[in-house]
Amino acid sequence: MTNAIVVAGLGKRFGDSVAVDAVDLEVRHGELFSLLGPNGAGKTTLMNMLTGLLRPDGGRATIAGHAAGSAAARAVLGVVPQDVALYPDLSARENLAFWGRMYGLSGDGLRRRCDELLAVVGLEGRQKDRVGTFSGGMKRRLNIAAALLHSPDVLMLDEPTVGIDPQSRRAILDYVRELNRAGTTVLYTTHYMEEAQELSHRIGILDHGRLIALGSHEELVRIVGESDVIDLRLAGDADAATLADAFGDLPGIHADGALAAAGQLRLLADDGATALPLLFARAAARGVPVRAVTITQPDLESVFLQLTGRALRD
Amino acid sequence: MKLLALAWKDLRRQFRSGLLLVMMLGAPLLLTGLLDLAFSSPAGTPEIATVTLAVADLDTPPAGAPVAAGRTLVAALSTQALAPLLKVVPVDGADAARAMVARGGAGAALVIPADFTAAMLGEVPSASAALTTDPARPLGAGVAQDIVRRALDSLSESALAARLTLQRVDGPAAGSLATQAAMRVALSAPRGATGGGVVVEGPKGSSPSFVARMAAQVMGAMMIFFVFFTGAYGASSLLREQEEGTLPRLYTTPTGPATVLGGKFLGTAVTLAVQIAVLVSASALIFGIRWGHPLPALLASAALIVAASGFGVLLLAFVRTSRQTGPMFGVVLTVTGMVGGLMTSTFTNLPAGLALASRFTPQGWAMAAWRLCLDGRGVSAMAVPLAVTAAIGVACLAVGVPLMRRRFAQGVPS
Repeated sequence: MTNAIVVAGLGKRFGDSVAVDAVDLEVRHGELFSLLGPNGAGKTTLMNMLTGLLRPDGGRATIAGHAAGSAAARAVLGVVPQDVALYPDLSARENLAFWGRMYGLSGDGLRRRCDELLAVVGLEGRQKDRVGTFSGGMKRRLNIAAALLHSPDVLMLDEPTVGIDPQSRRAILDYVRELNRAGTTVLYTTHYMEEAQELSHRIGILDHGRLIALGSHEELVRIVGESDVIDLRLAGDADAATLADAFGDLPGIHADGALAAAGQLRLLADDGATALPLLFARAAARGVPVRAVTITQPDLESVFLQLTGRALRD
Repeated sequence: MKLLALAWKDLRRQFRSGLLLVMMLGAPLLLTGLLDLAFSSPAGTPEIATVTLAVADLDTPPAGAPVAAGRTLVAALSTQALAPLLKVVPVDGADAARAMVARGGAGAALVIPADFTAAMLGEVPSASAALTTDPARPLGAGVAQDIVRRALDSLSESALAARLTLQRVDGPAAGSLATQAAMRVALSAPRGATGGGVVVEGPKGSSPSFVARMAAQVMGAMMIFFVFFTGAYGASSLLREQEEGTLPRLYTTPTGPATVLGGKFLGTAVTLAVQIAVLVSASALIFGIRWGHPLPALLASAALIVAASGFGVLLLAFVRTSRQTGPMFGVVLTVTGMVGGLMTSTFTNLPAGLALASRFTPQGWAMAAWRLCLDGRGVSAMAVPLAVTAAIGVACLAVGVPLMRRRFAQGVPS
C-alpha cells in the first residue's frame, strides 16, 4: 500500500535563503502527522509545495499516489490555510456552497454536505449570517469545514489554531482527531508543541528548512535520554548566560545546551534531585539568588533545545 | 459550471457592497438628476434662462429681390414660440454684436452677411451667417447655436426646394415669389409640422427637448465614466482575493487558473452589463431619456463592456496592492475620462485640440458611439466608434491578461 504523502528530496530557495532543504518524508494512510517547528522553519513553504501553490526547485512529492499539484492530487486533498480564506461578504452557507462547487459538488449532494458540516462546526444557527460578522474562532471552524466538503483522503492544516480563544482551539483539535479516527490522513503543521504532542501519531521537527528529527513523541523524547529538565528562575536582572557558563564543570549537568533568557535558565541534568544542590551552591557562590525551580520530564521543547540549542518559540 | 459559480460569486459580492452600488448606480443617476433638477421647473417643463442673441443684419438684397431673407430670418428668430428661449436684440454692425457678447450683454451674436438674400435666391453660390458665442455660458451658447442652425437649415432647404421646383414651371420671377412664400411658410410653421421649419420643443413627453438631450448626454457620459470604474474595480478583485488568501486557496482546489481568471472576467462583464442595463432603464424612466434603437444600444453596451474590462485589466498591471487601487484608478480614470470628454459632454464649443485628444482615450470613443446612439443613428453610422472602442478593449486585454496570468497564476498547474 502506498503512503498517503511521499516527499523525496523536496527543496525550495528564495534568493540566497534556503526555505526547505531536501526534505524526505512519508506520511502513512490514516496517520495524523505533525510538522513542528518555530516560525520561519519552512513549514508553510513545504505545505505550499505539497498543495501545488509553489513549484519546488528540486525533489518530488506525491499525494495519494498523484504528483503534488496535479488536478488529481488536488481533488483528493483538503487544505486549511494558515489565514482564514473565506469571503467575508458571503454567508457561511454561501461560502461552503461556493467552495463545494470548486471541488465539483452540486445539487442535493452539495446541500446535504453543507448541512452536515455546518452542524459539525456548530454554525447551523449562523449559516445565513455573513462571515465578516463572525468571531475569529467561528471563522477558523468554517475555514476547516470548507476544506472538508469533498471528504478528502488527505487533509492538510497549516497552523489552524493561531490566534484563537482556548475554547475554539479545543474544538478544532477535537475535530481534527475525530476526522483522523474516521480515516482521513492528516498533515498538521504547528509551532505549539503541546498540540503536536497531543494529536500526533508521529512528529517531524523542522528547523531552518531541514527535517532534524522524525518519530513518535516517545521516540523523539528518547533523543534527550533519561535526563530531567530543570528550569531556574533567577532574581532580578541576573545574567543567566554567565551563570550557565559557570555550571559547565558540574557533574551530570548538560550546561552546554542550556537555554538562557532574561532571569530564566533551562538546562538538562542526568538526575534533577542530585543536580539541584550543586546548582544552588554554584549560584550562591556567584551571588545569584534562585527564586524558583521546576524539574520536569523532557518534552518536545527539550528535544528541540537538545537538537538546536534554541527554544522552539525563538 | 465552475466558471458560472465563480462569476456568480463575484456578482453577488459586488452587488452587496454599498459603496460600489453607490458608485455604479447612485452616482451617475444622482449627477444627471441634479442637472435635470437644475433646469426643470417643478411642473416638469424645461426652464432655461432666456438667451440674448445680438443680431447684426447686414443683408442687402439684390435690386428687385422679392424678399429680404435676413429680415425673414430675424423675424423667425423673434417669434413668440421662441421667446422663452431666445431674446433677439438687433444691433448695428458685426463689431457691435460681438462686443455685446464680449461685454456679457448677450450669450451669442449672429452676423447675417450682406449677400444672404442673394445666396438664398441662388444668385451667389453661398453665404455664411456667423454665430459668436460666449464660452463662459456654454448652455446659452448651445441653445442659441441649436436654434439658429435649425432656422438656417430650414430656410435654405425650403428656399432651395421651392426655387428648383418652380423655376422649371414658370421661370425665374415666379421662382422668386415662390421662394419668398416658401421661406415664410418654413419659418412660421407650427412645431412638428411636416415640411421642415424651426422646431422648438414644448414640455417633456414630446420629442426630445434641449434639456432632455442635454440630460441624455450627461447621463451617457456619467454612465461611461462609472462603468470604467466598475471595470477597474472588477479586475482589482483578483488582487484583493490574493491578499485575502482566497485566490491561493482556489488554486488548491481542482480548478485551473484559466477557469479562475475566466470566471473573474465573466463576473466583471456581467456586472457591467447589469450596471448599464439598470442605468439605461432607470434614466429612461426617471428622466425620459431615449437611448436610441435597441441594436445600436446593445452594440454600444458590448463595446463599452469590452473596453472597460480591458482597461481595468491593464491598469491592474500597474498596482502592487489593493490599497493602491483607489488613488491609482481614481487619478487615471478621472484624467482619461476628462480628456475623453465625459465632463464636457454638453459643450458645443470645445477647442479642436480637446476633441482630438478625446480620440486617444477609450472613454472618448465610447462616448462618440453613445452620442450617435442617443441621436438615434443606426449601426452603420456607429461602426467606427464601436469598432475602435472594442478594439481598444481587446488590445488592453491582449496586454493585460498575460501580465495577470504571470502575476496571479505563476507556477500554478492548470
